[in-house]
Formats: sequence, C-alpha cells, structure tokens
Amino acid sequence: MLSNVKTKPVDVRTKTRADRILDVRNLRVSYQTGGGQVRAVNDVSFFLRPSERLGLVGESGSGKTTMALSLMRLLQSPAVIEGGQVLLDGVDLLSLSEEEMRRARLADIALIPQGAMNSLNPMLKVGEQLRDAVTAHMDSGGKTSREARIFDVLESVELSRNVVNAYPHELSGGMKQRVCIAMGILLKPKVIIADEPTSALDVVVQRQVMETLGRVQSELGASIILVGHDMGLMAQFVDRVGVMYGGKLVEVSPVREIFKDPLHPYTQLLIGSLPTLESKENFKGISGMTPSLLTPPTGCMFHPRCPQVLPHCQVEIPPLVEIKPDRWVACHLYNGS
Amino acid sequence: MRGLDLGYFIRRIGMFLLVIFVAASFNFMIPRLAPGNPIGAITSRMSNASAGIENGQAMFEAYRERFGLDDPLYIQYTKYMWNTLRLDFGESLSAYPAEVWDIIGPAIGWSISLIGVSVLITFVLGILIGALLAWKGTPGILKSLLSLTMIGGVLPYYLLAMLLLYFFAFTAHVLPMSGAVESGMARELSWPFIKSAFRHAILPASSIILTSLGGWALSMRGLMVNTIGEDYMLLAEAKGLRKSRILWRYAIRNAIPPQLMHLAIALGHVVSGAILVEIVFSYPGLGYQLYMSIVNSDYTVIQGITLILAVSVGLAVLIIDLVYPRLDPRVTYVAESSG
Amino acid sequence: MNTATVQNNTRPNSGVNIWKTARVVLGFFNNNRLFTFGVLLLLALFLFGYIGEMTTSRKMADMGAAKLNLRPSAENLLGTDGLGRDMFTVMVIGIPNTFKIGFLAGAVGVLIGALMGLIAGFYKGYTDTIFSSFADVMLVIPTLAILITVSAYVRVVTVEIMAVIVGLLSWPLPARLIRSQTLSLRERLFVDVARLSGQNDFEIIIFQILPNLTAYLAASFVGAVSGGILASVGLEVLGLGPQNVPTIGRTLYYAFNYSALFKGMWWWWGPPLVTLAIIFTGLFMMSVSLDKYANPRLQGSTHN
Ligand SMILES: Nc1ncnc2c1ncn2[C@@H]1O[C@H](COP(=O)(O)OP(=O)(O)OP(=O)(O)O)[C@@H](O)[C@H]1O
Ligand SMILES: [Mg+2]
Repeated sequence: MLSNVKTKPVDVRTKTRADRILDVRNLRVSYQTGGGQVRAVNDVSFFLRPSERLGLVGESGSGKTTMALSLMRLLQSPAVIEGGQVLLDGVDLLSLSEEEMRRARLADIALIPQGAMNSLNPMLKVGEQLRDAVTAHMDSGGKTSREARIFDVLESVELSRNVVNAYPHELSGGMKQRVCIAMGILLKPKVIIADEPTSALDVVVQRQVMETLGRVQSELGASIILVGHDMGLMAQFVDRVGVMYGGKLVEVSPVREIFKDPLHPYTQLLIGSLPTLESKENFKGISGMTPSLLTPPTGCMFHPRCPQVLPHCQVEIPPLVEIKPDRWVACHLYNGS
Repeated sequence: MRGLDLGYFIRRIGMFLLVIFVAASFNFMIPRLAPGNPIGAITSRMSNASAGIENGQAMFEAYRERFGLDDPLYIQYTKYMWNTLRLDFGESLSAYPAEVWDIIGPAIGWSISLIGVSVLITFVLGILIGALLAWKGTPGILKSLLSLTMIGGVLPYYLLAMLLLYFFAFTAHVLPMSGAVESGMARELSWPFIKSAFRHAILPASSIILTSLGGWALSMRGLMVNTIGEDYMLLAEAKGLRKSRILWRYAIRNAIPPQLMHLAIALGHVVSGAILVEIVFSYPGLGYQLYMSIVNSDYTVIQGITLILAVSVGLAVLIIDLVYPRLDPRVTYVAESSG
Repeated sequence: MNTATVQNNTRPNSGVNIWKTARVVLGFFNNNRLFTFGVLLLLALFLFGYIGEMTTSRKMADMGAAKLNLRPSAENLLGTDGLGRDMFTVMVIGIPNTFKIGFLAGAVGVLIGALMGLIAGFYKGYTDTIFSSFADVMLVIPTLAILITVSAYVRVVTVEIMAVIVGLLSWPLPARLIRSQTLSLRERLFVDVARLSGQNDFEIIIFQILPNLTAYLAASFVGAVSGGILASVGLEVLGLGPQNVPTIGRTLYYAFNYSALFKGMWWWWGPPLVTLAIIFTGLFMMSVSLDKYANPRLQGSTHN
C-alpha cells in the first residue's frame, strides 16, 4: 500500500466514528493582510462518509477554496490555519509533520485544483508530471508498475496513452482536466477534493468530464468534495450539499432535501433564485452586499441580509446543529427543536 | 510532435543578418554624418603624414581606393557593405601595412574568454541567488547574506574595476595590474601560460561579475516570484513532491528560459561594460584595442572592432535564440500559431 | 464626515483637486519608502552641487587656479588636484552637469522609446514587426562601441550634444517595455468603449492608453537616466565626451591619468567616486521600488 497515514500510531487518533472518512472540526483559517485579519474559514465543522459525494457551494469569496486547500495544508502565507482538526481516517492532518503531510498528499487525499487549465507545468511532458507524482511516494524501484499505473489511470479517464509524450499546451482544456483527474486518482486516495474542476470548460465538455470524474470516483470508492457554484451540476452529481456563507458553513443537507425544503434563509434564497422550468425568468439574485470578512457582522453572518432576522441574530452566533436526521443548519430559527 | 520550426529559425537568422547590416550602416554613416567632415580631415591628415613615412603614399592610395572616396555615395556604401560582408576591413592606419585582422584576431580570443567566462559565472550564480531569495524555505540569515550581492550593482563596472585595481593590484600586490599574461610570455598552451592568464583575468572578471550579479539575482527573484505564484506550483505541492524537487524542477527550471531571454537582451550592455573594464586593466581584448585605436586615430581598426563586437553579440544572441526552443517547449508552438 | 464629502463634491474650484493630487503623491511616497529615499538622496546631491556652485567662483575650476596637490583645508574644502583646480568647485560644477546629461539622455530615450513602443504595440502587425525588430537589433549592438566610435570622430562635443547622442541610443529598452504593455492594454474593455464613443487612434493612445502606462514610463525613465549617466561617465572616464567642462567622469579621467590613486591623493579620486556611488544608489533604489510597482505579483512577496 502506498498509503501512509494508516501506519500512524494509534495515539494520534482522536475519538472518531467509523462512518466518517473525513471529519473536519472547528476549522479556522485567516489571511493576515495589511488591513487586518480576513477570517476566510470561520469555525467550520463537517464530515464526509466513505464513498460519499459532498458538494460545497457558496458565492465567490465565501471561503470554499481556502477551506479545500487548508484540508491538505496547501495554503501559502499570508494564510494561517488558526485552529481545528482535520481527521482523515482518524488521523489529524493538522498535527502531522511536514514530511508526513507530504506523504499523505495525493496518496491519501488528492486535489483536483481550481483552474486546471494552468495546473500543469508547461515545461514538462504530461508523462513526466505523472511519473514525478508516483516517484515522490515510492520508496524504491517499481518502474514497470509505475508505468503500468500511469497507463491505467489515463485509460480510466479516457485518454490515449500517447498523451504522456505531449506537453500541456498541446492538449485541449478538457484533456488537461482529464490529466488532472488522472493525477488525482493515481495513488488511489481516500478523499478527492475537486475545486470547480470544470468551471473553465464549455457545457458539453463539462458534462463529459463530470461523468468521467463520477465514474472513476465510484470505481475507486473514494469520497469526494466537489466545490462549485453550479447548483444544477450539484443536483446531478452529489449526495449531500454544504452551503458556505462568509466563511461559515450554514447548512449541510442531502441534495434532494436541500432543493425541496431548504432550511437556512440563505439557502432558501439561493434555491429560490435558481431559474426553474415554470418561470423562465433570470436569476433574482440576493439583495444586499456580501459580508466583509475583514469586519464581519456580529452574531449571524447573514443577519444584515436575512429576510427572517430575529432580534438575537445580531448578537449570538448560531451553531451548526443537526435539527433532523442528517440535516444540519446554523440558524436561530430552528433553535427550538 | 515537435520538430524544428523552420520559420522560427529563418526569422532568428534574419535578425542576425539585420544586426550586421545595421551595425555596418552605422559604421558607414557616423564618419559621414559627423560635423566637420572627418573623412576629409582623415585623408588630409593621411596625405600629410604619408609624405613622412615609408609606404605612406601607398597607404593613402589604398585607403582612397578601398573606400572609393572619389565615387558617389551609394557606390561607396555598396563597396563598404561588400567589404564588410567578407569581413575585410583592410589595413590598419597606424600600423600600416598590418591588416586590421592582425590586430583584431588575438584580441577576440582574450575578449571572448574573459567575457564568456564572466557572463557564464554571473548567470549561474545569479540564478541560484535569485532563486534562493525568492524561495520561502531559505533561512533568513542566508537571505540577508545573499542580498549583499546587490551592493555591487550600485557601482558602474569601471569604478569597481578601478577600486579592485587599486586595492588588490596596486596596494596589496596580490594580483597583476594589467595585461592578459606576463609580458614576453610565449603564447602556447602550457601550464605556466594558463596559470598566468588565469591570474590576470581574476580582477577584470571579478569587476564584471560583482557589478552584474545583483541585477541578475534581482531579475531571477522576480521571475521566481511569478513562477511560484503559478497554479501548477500548487498542484506540484498537492502531488506531495519534495520541496527540493519543486524548487529545482518546477520553480527554477521554469524561470530559466525567461532569464535566458533577459541575458540575450542584456548582452549588448554587458559587452559595453566589459569594454571599459578591459581598458582599465589594459586587458588586450577588443575593448582595449578599440581604445588604443581611438588614441591613435586608427579609423579602420575602430570600424573593424565595432563591427566585430556587434557580430559577436549578435552571434551569441542567435545561439541563445536557437537553444531557447529546447528549453521552452511552448516557443515553437507560439511561433506556429502566430505565423 | 458626510457633510465634508458633499461640500467637496459640490465646490467647483480646483483647490480640491490640488489637495487630492497632493495626497495621492504623498501617499505614493509614503508607500514606496525606498523610492522616496532614492529621490531624497539624488535631491540632496543635486542641491549640494547647485547651492555649492553659488558659493564659489567658477574660475577656481580652471587649471592653475590654485596651488597643485593641496590636501583638503579650510580654504580648499576638498583640496586641489594635480592641475591646480579647486576640487570643491570642480565637484559642485560637475554634479549638475552630470545630472543634466543623465536627465536629458533619459528624456530623449524615453520619449523616442515610448513613441515607438506605443505605435508598435497599438498597430501590431507589420508596423510592430518593423519597430520591434529595429529595437531588438539596437539592443544587440553594444551601445558603448558606437558611442566610442562617434566620439572618435566628433572630438569636441558639448554636454547637451553628448546627452542627446546617448539618449538616441537608449530608446530600445523603454520601447520594448511600453510595447508589451500597450499590446495588452489595447485589448482592454475601456479601449473598445472609447472607440465606440468615436475617439480616433490618436485620442485613444493619448487619453486611454498613455495614462495607464505612468508606472512603466517612470520605471523606464529611471532606467534610462541611469543608463545615460553610466554611459556618459564611461565615455568621460576614457577622456572622450565634453572637454573643458568639469564633469564627474572627466574628473575621474584626470585623477586616473595623473595616477592620483597611486599618489595617495584620495581627495582627488574620492569625491567623484562617492558622488557616482550616491547617484547610482539613488537610481537603483528608485528602479527597484518602481519595478515592484509595475509588477503587482512582486508586491505580495514582501509579506513572505
Ligand atoms: N491571498 C489572500 N490574501 C488575503 N485574502 C485572501 C487571499 N486569498 C483569499 N482571500 C480572501 O479569502 C476569502 C475566501 O476566498 P476563497 O478563494 O476561499 O473564496 P472562494 O469561495 O473559493 O471563491 P471563488 O468561488 O471565487 O473561488 C475571500 O474573501 C478572499 O478575499
Ligand atoms: Mg475558489
């Protein structure tokens, strides 16, 4: 097995539940800017079940990418992970050493980055970049098995073997994205984080690439976090959806229920603003400004824009709680239950 | 998939020919545009002088004939260009009947070795220093130490040359003050000769290296910062590559081609600086010979050296241009799509 | 606060604008300390020359005006050189001259370069090919060799002619920078908007593109001034360039030729050397600071 985290001694394990492959607890990330602290991820907790597909939606700047990258400890300064736990199979990634974390990347938790168009090194052939990735996790030899694995993953993302000899600029956008997916599954990770993997592609290619991603994910049995804006895409692809707003996770619910019966007022507005078949009008949009993360509002992040605001929403931050089975929401409207 | 792109090569070689053409045209025009009719002054000076020296009249006639000074301007120009194309610069005026080539020839070797080696050292060191300055993993102390190389960039070549000459050659006597080897030494590939040449080259080379290193490091640092900000660096880290691997194969490797382009752009300036360094150290390269021929009003040699300097830099740039596609696979592609 | 803003907006005089501009300029200096420091360094040096020039008589810079080889004293603040000139006078006359050459050469170079770069970048195609090839060719030819050749033929030049000749050879780098920026600016939305609203090419270049190039023009100018001083002092050190006018380079030439270094006459070679070091330090600081300004990616790295 290429996986390394499993071999960690038990004492690093925190009490954990077997049905959670990834368990994120109270994660807090901020950017230290000249103007002050930007709280991009503010006390976020959620979990991922084995083989599950979790969607993560939210408007631009709500902290999705920051959250995704902090799970793999890939953030650069001025970003600082201020606290929390990221338990992958019971092991807290945030407490690993640099070298342990390096080995966990790709082998246990892989990234398909936002903007895959520029995610391949333009100076290296595709094959070299794939080889590089495998070699970094091999302790010795195994050249033939390495090559075989590379051809395997290329085949499973429906690419010809010949692309190993191509430079990235010789590939189309969709092909590059497939290379990134191939890279992601190269070492059979337990969790794949896909950050808007198709946002730069046109709709037809987008659909094909998503189908491929879905297929390799289920073949692999890995869990996936799919970050994106597109609720339509989410509806087709994921099992559960998490909604981010101003650096906070405001709701996590199964995908069907979030469309049928959104709980959080923000989710309601988000779903309500989608163009439906009956009313073919444009997006209604949500009135009001996106919150400033430099000087966030007190209490609930959403209260300045919330149509159902209660008096103590301005004072008290609502925690994310499970109000019905598998339905998590952070809103004072549901405090009673 | 990636063959030799003929269009690219033809364009580059055309560029090289253009350099020769423009440099030669400058050579032709400058004396004729200069106020006070220097050509007339030269010929009258020569005809005066020729009375006094042996072969003087022959030299004067040869000069008139060679440049067709009695012909209309366009014929003079054509003749001049034809001679230039054959790299035929005629005879030296101050050392007649010696050929211009007899003076330029030995000088070329010294200049190319001095400038070539200095530029190579500076370029490699500049890449390393700049890369380490931009890399987050570099210890702070090392960064501050490396930043010291920027100080040299503040002084012009010739000033540092003078200072080094003063301290190391004049005051401390540890290194020779002038020349390329001990005077009177036979030019042969023997151990003492190489040792002497090396000792003589240390100060001039240091002048070139120390003054330009900071600039290269700074430019490399800028390129590295850009490279490090690229999306593919994130994926490289997400792949779990080792830090050293990312530094060499992804960051430095990718910043080298644009840095090489900077070199191609800056080479003319580097050579300009080296000319002055040679003069300060009386280093018998092209720069020093150029100076001597100005002192002696040896116009044929001046023209020859100016042209050879332009041709050499042009050739070096051509080589960089031809190597470049090997380093940056995107180049041929870009050339194809735009042309 | 609110009322003040309203008043500012309604008052139709230009006083507000001056204040606004002043604040922007001051803000720039405050945010770019290195640049400010470089400017102050050059300004101090220039004032030293400018004011110093008024306190002495120009005659003291003539050869034989004083005793030879005097050490610095109350009478001759920087001593006298081997030609009997008062070094203080030589320096205070030389400094403004060197500045003059540098700024004139820089202005000529940037003017030509900006013009070429704007035309090449804006019109693209064949125009661009011709202009860019010419600039590339000029970059390859070692400028100093041409300058030396020119001064071999033109033995007597004034400070101004020298500056113009140097400037005429220093346009390729500004041209390249401005061209590449113009190429990207011309594709921006506001250029299309301006074209749709009926502006012609000239107006677009002047009113839409040029204002966006300020940082690059400034960076080019600093670079060109630096290159101009570098080249002209280089020529002067060789004894070429303006004769009979005290310049920093010429002073070094005499110091060098009369073996001031070896005679231990530090007051002869020291002042021009320190002056040049100050000039180039100032220009270097300015260009490093502007480089950061023109290249936003670099700014982030200062946090690291
Ligand atoms: N390098 C940085 N320095 C300072 N603030 C940053 C930095 N990067 C991101 N931020 C801030 O962090 C917040 C979250 O950014 P993030 O990129 O995570 O959003 P996102 O949800 O992924 O947006 P998008 O949908 O546009 O990708 C934003 O408010 C952004 O302004
Ligand atoms: Mg994002």
